Amino acid sequence: MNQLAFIILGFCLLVYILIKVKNKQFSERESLMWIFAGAIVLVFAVFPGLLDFIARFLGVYYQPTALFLLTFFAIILILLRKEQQINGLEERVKELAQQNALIMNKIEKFIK
Amino acid sequence: MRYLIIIPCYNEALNIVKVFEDLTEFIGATRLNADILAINDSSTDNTEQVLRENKICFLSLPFNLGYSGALQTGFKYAIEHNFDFVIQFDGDGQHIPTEIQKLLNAQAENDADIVIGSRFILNSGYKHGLLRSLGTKIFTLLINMICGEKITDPTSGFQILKKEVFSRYAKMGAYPRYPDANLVIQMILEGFKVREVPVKMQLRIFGVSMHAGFWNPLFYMVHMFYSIFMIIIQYGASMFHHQKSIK
Repeated sequence: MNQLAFIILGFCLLVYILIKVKNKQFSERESLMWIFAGAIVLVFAVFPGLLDFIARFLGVYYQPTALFLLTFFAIILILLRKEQQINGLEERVKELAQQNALIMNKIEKFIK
Repeated sequence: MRYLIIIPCYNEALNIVKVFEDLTEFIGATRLNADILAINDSSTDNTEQVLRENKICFLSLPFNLGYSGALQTGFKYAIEHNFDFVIQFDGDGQHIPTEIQKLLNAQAENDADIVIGSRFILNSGYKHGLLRSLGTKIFTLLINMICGEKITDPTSGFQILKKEVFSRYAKMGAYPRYPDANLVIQMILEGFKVREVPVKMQLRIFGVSMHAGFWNPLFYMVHMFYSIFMIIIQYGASMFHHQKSIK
């Protein structure tokens, strides 16, 4: 039953992302990462033995801890990427604001 | 030579007219070929109205970019209008227009790329808070250790910049939020000639400094140390060559 719940969860996540992309609310490029995350949830749900294997490989004796650890790292990576994107956007917004001030000055001079 | 005097303003409605009048008087007396440009950093008071009423040439930012963002806008204006030098000047009445002459002389004598007006070479009577005084001393020491040069007032916003310098600043993708000791170090390591000259300054007339309070200076210090650390990582090799060339 647990396995079935996880399969449904992974499937729903994938469908949700695909609908968002289809409705142009989410760019294809950005959605790829989340499609990948949804696919991993599905793979773990279909093959629970895989999580056992990874937990043993990492030297973690309690399976869910391995899952939390992987999820934690994935979220940190996503956060770093988002921070990087926000910084890039901030720079672009600053440039736009500065250009706006320069253009407004030209317009005012032109009107006078 | 054409000079542009850039005055970043944030809520300086009470100070800016006096600053502008004193500057105009100085320009008239010395016949300096200079224009004055105020940059209204989205002030919440009536700075813009005051600038307009007094026919002061100004740019108005659509939202607050902070001191460095406003300065950088001025550098972009200076490039567009083909100025040879930029003089950074505070809008709060701290800087004294007649002291500009000292910066001009020092620039001409040394052919310096950057001339900083320092409050601390001679005892100018200017009083800093305890934390900022300590910070300035530490940053002076750091600049000396990293670049082998003595800059006593790296936080001074009273500067003359050559075209090569302000063009570089205008195009910097990440022009620092606080363009102080970190930028001085970076420019020295990039091979620009930085000189200091003693100047007098006075306390701001009205309003509150951006470094007021307890947390602002503390945050500033942490930020500055981190910024200098990043420059050391980025310019490690230049640092070695620069110190070697001085010896």
